[in-house]
Amino acid sequence: MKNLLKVLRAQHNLSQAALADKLDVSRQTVNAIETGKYDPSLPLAFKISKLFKQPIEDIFFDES
Amino acid sequence: MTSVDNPKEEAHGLSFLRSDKRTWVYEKRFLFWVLTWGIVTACCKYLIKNEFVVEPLNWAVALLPVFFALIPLRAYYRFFTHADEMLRKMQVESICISFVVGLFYTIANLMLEDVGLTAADARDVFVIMMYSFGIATAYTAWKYR
Repeated sequence: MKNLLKVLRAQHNLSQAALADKLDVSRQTVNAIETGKYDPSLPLAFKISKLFKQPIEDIFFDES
Repeated sequence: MTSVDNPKEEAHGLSFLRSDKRTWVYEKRFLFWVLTWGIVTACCKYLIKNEFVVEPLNWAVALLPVFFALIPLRAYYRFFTHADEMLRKMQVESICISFVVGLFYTIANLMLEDVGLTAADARDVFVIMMYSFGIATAYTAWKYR
């Protein structure tokens, strides 16, 4: 699954650590999500969606 | 959780994230109890081996590390349930790998016993599972780095 987390984070001028703190996860988790190595859980995806005020499907999308 | 639109919320002490701090505390608690359990086990072994305790008290001493093990187990469970979700995934994958390695070792040993290999000791399986858990943890950390 691909995502626009890195783009959104840059748009909001947030570091990985700052975003991780807002989401209450580790910086490594944010990095792994951004690089597509880890797909977040649904609650975390909702948190990201709420934080950036965008629908989940606009942030996360299928690669195919 | 906060919103990105509020600039007041941007000031964070980011040297130690909440998630990292929580993980660190529970991890250290778990390590403390593992270490304590190790000391208790070694003391009990020493007392029994040198016959410092007589029957039936030696049964109680022998069972003490078994029941004491519940404390580090509970500490691990707390560490696991409070860990960051990716760390949890890494732990689950590591546990699965070590379980499969232990299972394969046991099955292989059972089969090879018939052709003359010495029967596996429960302690061998435990050690192999612990080592494979360590290797699997390093692998998953590399995988999600």
